[in-house]
Amino acid sequence: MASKKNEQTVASAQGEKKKRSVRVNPNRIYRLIGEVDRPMLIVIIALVCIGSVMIFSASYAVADTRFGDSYYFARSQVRWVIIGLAAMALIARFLDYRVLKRFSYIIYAITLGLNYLVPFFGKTNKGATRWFVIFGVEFQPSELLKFALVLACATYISNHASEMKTLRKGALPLFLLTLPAAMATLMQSHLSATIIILILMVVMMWLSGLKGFYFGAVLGAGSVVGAFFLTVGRGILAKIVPHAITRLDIWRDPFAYMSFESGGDGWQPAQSLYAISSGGFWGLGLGQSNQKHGYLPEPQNDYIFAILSEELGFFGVVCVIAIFGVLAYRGYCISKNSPNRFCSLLSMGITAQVVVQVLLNLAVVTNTFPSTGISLPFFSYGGTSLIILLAEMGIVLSVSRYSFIEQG
Amino acid sequence: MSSATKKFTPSGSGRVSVVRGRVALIVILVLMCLLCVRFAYLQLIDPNDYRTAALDQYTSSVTIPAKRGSIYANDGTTELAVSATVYNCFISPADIKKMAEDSEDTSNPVTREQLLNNVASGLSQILSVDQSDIVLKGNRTNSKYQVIKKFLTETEENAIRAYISENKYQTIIHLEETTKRYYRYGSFASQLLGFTGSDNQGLSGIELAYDEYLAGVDGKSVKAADGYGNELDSGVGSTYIAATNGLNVVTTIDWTIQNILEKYIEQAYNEHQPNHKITGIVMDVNNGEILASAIYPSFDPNNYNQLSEIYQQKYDAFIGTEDQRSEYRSQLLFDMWNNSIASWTYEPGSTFKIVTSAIALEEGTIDYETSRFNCVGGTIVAGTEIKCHKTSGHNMQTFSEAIVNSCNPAFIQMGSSIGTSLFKKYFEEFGYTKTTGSDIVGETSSIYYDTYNTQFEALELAVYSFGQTFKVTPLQHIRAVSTIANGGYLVVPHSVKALVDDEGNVVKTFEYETDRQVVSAETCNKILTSLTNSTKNASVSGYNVVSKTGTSQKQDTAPTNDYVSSCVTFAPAEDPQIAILVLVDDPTSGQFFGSAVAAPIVGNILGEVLPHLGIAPNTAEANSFTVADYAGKTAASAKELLEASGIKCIVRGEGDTVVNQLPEKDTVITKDGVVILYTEGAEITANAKVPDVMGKSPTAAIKALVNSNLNVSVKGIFNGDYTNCKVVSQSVAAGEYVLPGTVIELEFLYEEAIQ
Repeated sequence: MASKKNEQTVASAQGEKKKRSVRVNPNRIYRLIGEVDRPMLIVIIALVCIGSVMIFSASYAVADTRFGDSYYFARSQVRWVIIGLAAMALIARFLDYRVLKRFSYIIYAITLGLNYLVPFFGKTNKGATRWFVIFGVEFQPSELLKFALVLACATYISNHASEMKTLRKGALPLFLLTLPAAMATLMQSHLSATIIILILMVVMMWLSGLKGFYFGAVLGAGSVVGAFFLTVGRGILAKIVPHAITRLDIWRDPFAYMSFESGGDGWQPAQSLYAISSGGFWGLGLGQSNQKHGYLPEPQNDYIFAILSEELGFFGVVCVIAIFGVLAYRGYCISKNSPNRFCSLLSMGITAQVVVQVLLNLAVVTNTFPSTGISLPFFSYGGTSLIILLAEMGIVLSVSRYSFIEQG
Repeated sequence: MSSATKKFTPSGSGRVSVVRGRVALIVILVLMCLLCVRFAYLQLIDPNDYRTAALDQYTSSVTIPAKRGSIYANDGTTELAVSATVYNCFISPADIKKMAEDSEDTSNPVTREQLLNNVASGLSQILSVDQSDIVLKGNRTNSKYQVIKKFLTETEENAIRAYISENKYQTIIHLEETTKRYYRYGSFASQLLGFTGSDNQGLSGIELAYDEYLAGVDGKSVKAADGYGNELDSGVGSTYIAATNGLNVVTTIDWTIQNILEKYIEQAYNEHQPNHKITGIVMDVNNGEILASAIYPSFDPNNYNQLSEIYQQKYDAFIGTEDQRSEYRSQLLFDMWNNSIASWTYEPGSTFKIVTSAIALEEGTIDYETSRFNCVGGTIVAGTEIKCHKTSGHNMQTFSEAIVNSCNPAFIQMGSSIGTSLFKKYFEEFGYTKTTGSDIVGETSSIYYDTYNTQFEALELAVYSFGQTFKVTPLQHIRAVSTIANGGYLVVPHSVKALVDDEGNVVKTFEYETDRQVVSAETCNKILTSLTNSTKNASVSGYNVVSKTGTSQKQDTAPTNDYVSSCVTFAPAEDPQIAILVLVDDPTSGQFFGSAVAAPIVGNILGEVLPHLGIAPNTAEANSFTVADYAGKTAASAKELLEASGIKCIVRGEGDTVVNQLPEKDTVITKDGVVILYTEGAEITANAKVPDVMGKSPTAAIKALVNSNLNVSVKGIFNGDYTNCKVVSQSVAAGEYVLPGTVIELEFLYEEAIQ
């Protein structure tokens, strides 16, 4: 192992900052602008940049057609990117996680409250009520809910660290904590948010230290419930989440649902597959997509990765997935080197939230998973979700900052 | 690794288990790798189906119709049939549906039915198409292509364009480019030219026969469009294969001769009101080129599905059920389109005697000088009596007399001298047993002894000798008799001589056999000599022409007396260039002899065709006088001048100076004409009463007109021969008052009861 050599090198290089050179981790946390984890920051900036370029590339045709302005989406996205990055920088620099922990349940409660209000006061779009419109800005409270849930879980787990191994004192409280969030999203007919919330619950249970046997039991129970809804309980599922069954049928054969007669809901996934396959290895070249010209609807939204696949090919796809891989890895590193259990859970939870969305989005885009309306973090168009995302990344970065300080 | 990691875990800090975090990370990375595999499958391993499907949805293939070749007259420049770009209008019911659906989110939603009704009423007004038809087509919501109207007029096209842009119907109403065939001169040579169908495919006539050359090869344009219908920048999948234009066909039709032929055939139709058609062919005897081919009633190939006037009258007069009427209508249409010069057979009658003579003279079974033929008004062959048209008999005749008299017993005698086997041999050699090999579509087979396996014995031979009981096409017949005109060679009649491309380069010429000699030139000359100017009604002053008329009784409609009156003529007699065959099928004017019905038509045609062909008349027209300008001259001197030229001169008024004259200067009058000079104070009044000269002899008629101070121009008088002919029409009816000096046109017909 090269740890000894590292210690000496760093020690001599940063002699005057004694505190920092005391202990060096092989998975050490690098710093940029002082304290935050440098690779994570680079990854975030890289993703934001690639995302902005892709927003422009994917959207200019549709923007030109709809608004007569090719830059319509790109301009507004760049505006949100700047605001988001500023927010991220502020949070990374000044946030004290202990404040966050102190108000975590309150934040969760408020967020839950907002989510329960959405069905009554929200804006309806395409049959689903998921948005608030505040000063002309659309805001989706469920975006915030995922984060609030992670925060609440992290707080609960870290407060009851010693009890988390059992089913009753570990898993059950987490389940009860998650249940209102899952219900809220179901009320919004926001199945994808429900799925992500449930996955996040499972992730948090796993990280909480729940005994492997019990964890297996939870997964098993979840599978049984899932299997029930997909087979015998299809009718119930259809009642809870309208169109869920249709979505499954479309997933099996999107091409059968492309025409007007069949409702046209298979059009988007089918066009997504066309786009991806058209890309080949090197892609058609940045900006060269044909699919974005009125074939793949709303190419700047959930299906933006299909346009990326078409333009940048398999090569581009692997690069972007690799960057997300690095993001996951750095999240893991930050978590591992966190000063305490709360920070560890928080950073890992937030990382998991982002990565789960990425995985689900790519699965949807490739029609590996039914179309559910999951946006791709850093890529899909949307101001509030980008700001929330970058704010969350700011929290992760701020945690990385603390991990160093307390290590010293 | 594990020892190093452990070192960093602060004891009792309650941090998340490193193992759990690592497992979570590994699960995430594995899932990412699986997604990469999924992408690899879609992008690298099996991308082709989706790629093709994607390409298919961008690209739409448009056929670029090849421009159909033009059809030219024999000068290679007069366009008889041309193709021009026009537009078809179609709607896209799928897009009507889509537009209605899209409008749901707007402030002004319409249902699909409303939208369709709007479109249908708009289109029906502009295109005069039934609105319910459009609605019916518009309800086929899966379709993107429902043709509403083909071949829009320019007005309709512009109105549609305006209507589309006004209502923003760009996605649902479309115009597609196509070509339409235009026949420049309407019914001109309609049966010969034929016509094309709605897809520009040749359906009959030259259009059908030369379709492979005229059609050209359609091109293809594959264009990539985005989802909004605009061209895709990337141009993916776009290809363009240019159309190859069709070749232009140069026919053998002489525009002028065709017009002359059509004019006189129509005139004769109105005069003789035949139950069927009048058919005329003008053929170059040396190479078989059909210079003109006309059938009346004709039709307008621009609207080939419309019955022409005469057929419409027949249809209107028809009484029957709806089915019977529509059946009858299609019968009439087919009859109207039928190019009867090739797809109709008739009994050639006496015109066939040319062939019988040729065989007999060629084989020496008769002698041109010494053979004599006795006619006592009829003869008995194998127990059947056959009468001559002159029941009193022609008595003893030489060959020349026999053929000019068209004496049936004489030809029966000639036929029997030939014998059946020799006759059959020549019948075949003259081409009567096979189609001519011409390029005319729908050439039908002749009907003769082989057709029904009938015997061919003495009686049959006798009847064949004067052209009865067998049926041939006009084309076969004109070809066979033309051998006499060209020195004995059987040519192939044809209507097209070359193919040229758009730059005028000759791509292909059509050569036909011209060296198949049937009879010797000597035989031909004998017959030509005998028949020269034998039919005065078919003759033209100043020219020598060779004619033989025929009046064949239709055997298949017996016992009613239906006749085909015909005349075949070669001109000029000295060195025949053209052959004309005119057939009047069943005239109802009371006249039915070929010499009275068909021959005058030929005479009229020749009178214009021969000068057109540049064949100079033998004798200059010395009988005409061109009126000069006498105004300003003294009446006495003018009168002296005129009378010196033999013109009758009348001076009106008391003055000395001529101020006015009739006829006007430059009018051509005959030498026995009259000029009226007016001096000061004389009044010009239409005081000349036209006398009735119908049925009068030329001398009497001219005298009567000149006595009434009228001038005369004559038509149908051959070489000033006034014998045995009478006026059959005068251009101004008797009893009317006209200006003195007016030129009255008289038409004469020789009374030749020769059959």
